[in-house]
Amino acid sequence: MTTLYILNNPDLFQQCSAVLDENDGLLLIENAVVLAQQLEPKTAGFVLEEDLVARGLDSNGSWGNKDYDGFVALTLEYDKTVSWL
Amino acid sequence: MRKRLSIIFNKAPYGTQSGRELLDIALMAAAFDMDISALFIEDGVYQLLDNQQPDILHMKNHSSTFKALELYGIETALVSEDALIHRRLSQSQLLPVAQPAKQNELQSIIAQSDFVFML
Repeated sequence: MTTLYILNNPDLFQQCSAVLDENDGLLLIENAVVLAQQLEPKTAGFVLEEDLVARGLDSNGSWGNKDYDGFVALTLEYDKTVSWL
Repeated sequence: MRKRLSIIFNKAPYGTQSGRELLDIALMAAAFDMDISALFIEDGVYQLLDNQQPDILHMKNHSSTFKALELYGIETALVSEDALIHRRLSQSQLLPVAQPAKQNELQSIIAQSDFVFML
């Protein structure tokens, strides 16, 4: 089963990455979007557009930008979604 | 086919209520005939320390509830070996309710679960 992990706390990035399988995805939202400038995704990586724009940031290009609609569509591409808290 | 639920404990007890609340979720899910696993990773391993005495903080000792896990049909309880080593804890300091597990074992349980809860 594939899992889309949603991360909103940048401090938990390592912890969350540790459980990622190669066909899982990681979506950065809220404060975790700051990571999209600094880090490379271990597997398929995405970042929420609105949260980047709100913060005046942009991704380093290795995270797929998704707006809210894209976020919803993304959740359908995986068997389940887990919010890493 | 029974649905599989994983409850992941990744926070130390008492600083937040997440440990107690996750336990409540696990105990409720047991009533829905689900296949439940309790996974203790990162600081969540502290939830299992044996000599907790939260009454000094006027807080309830929810760690005693961990002894009831099998009672509620939670067959699988695993604690991350790496997390224990990293925190210089040994299995003997923990409540005897969880089996030590390697990272890939924890990962495969999470992958195979239909639902995963964290708080």
